[in-house]
Amino acid sequence: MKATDLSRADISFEAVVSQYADMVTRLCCLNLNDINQAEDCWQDTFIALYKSPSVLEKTIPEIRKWLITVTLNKCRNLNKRQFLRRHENIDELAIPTYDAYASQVVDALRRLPPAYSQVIYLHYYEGYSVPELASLLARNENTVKSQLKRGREMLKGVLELE
Amino acid sequence: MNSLFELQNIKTPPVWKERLNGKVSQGKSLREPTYRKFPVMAAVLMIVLLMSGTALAYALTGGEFFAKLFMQKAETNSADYSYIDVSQLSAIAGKTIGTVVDTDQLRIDVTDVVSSGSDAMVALCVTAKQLDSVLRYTGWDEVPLNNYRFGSEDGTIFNNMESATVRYIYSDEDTSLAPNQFYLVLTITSLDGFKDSPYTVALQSFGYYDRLAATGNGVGVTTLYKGPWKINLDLSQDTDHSRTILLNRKVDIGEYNYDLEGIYLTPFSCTAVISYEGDPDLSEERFKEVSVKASDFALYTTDRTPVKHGEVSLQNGGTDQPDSTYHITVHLEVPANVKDVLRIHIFGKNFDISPVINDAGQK
Repeated sequence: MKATDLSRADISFEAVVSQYADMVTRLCCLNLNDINQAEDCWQDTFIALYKSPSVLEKTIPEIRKWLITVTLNKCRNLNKRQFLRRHENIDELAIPTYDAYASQVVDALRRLPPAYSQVIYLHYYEGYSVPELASLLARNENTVKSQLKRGREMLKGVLELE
Repeated sequence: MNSLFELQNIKTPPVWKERLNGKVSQGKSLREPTYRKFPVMAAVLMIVLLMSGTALAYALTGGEFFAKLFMQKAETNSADYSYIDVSQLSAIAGKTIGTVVDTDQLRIDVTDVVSSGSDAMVALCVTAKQLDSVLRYTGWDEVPLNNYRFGSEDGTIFNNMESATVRYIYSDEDTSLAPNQFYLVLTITSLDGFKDSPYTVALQSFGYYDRLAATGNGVGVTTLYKGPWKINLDLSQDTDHSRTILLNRKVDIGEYNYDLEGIYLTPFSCTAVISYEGDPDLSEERFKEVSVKASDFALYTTDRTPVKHGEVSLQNGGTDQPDSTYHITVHLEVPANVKDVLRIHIFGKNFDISPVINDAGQK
């Protein structure tokens, strides 16, 4: 599943956006609670890339890892800001949802704690190995292994409940 | 795990790429801080402009707008708000009430500003001068989404914030507003207090939400006026109406030990600060554990009346603090006199707190 269509000679800001836009979108959508925040995070990630031209001098796998790391950091920062909702009925209507992306598995993944959904997504969908994930997420390999195992169990539990 | 292939249905809305291209093509502007959006809320209220002279004069008196707002909540809700104290709001009002930003498209009046310790509240009255109405009725479930609003609320007042709330109040909720007016009410809790007044509120992209805008796939603001509109605010740096209670007590949360450093009370919120020393690899685990256990957070007044509060917000880190420090905040539904709050219940323990003269509420 790893995207390797981009060759070194093709690397440009536009090409990287084109190649990895959906990957960053998926990370944002799985880690954030509303689509406006997801777009903010998506925009901020690629603007950070635009403002860091030296990143484009890296290898393609390194650029991809850089995008994942930056996206997850930005998601984490946004999640720290838990915005308060005091006027429940109207408020719920006012917060945009992920209707366009509704699916059982997406919903189930978003219910997992981020530490688990991240390793599940990056391992099973993006194809990163356990050692690669340990390096990418700054976790030790045993932690990643146990999060994959526990994440699978939690995901199965959530899917069975639905 | 084959079901994960459903994730391939998540595609980037083309409008996101269009907006990115727009920003990139602007070049220099990318060096400015990027915008931030908040979930939007609507609520009930009263007042101001294009109304009677009485209403305008009323709006220019510091603290009264919020006093009226909270009193209305207390009077129209069956909960026990007997501890409400709005008399203190005039003492913590800012000096920039009545400031006007007036352009061909929008007039923005600073209706009220109050602040104490780490909390600030700002009420702006916005008049869309070229519109008959800022309401857009296109279906029962679309009304809040489609009303005119700002696509971005930002400014230095949000710097280093712990949490923020943005509320929009329209004439369908507050009949004293003209159809082309609304209130924008900002509530900000800062990690470090508001020590660097004056602050700014920067508003951009005035328009309306349209779920089917552009691509039919994304959600965005259809911008009518780009802006920006910048409002300077002089906040009171009040600490007389806030309290700091240093505890330095050990608490157990799940399998982890923490130091409950202190409790910070303002008329609008109560924050508990805890910290730990340990493996940073576990910080996400801890964050999750603390977030679950922190929901059991209660305050009681002199006569043991529970102080009503909204959701619990959680933030770790701060300007001068490591990620191993957590701020757990509850926002009170109506303002309380901090000297009336005598007991805090958090993490399964009760902490009796007696008022101390000359406490300071900044963290």
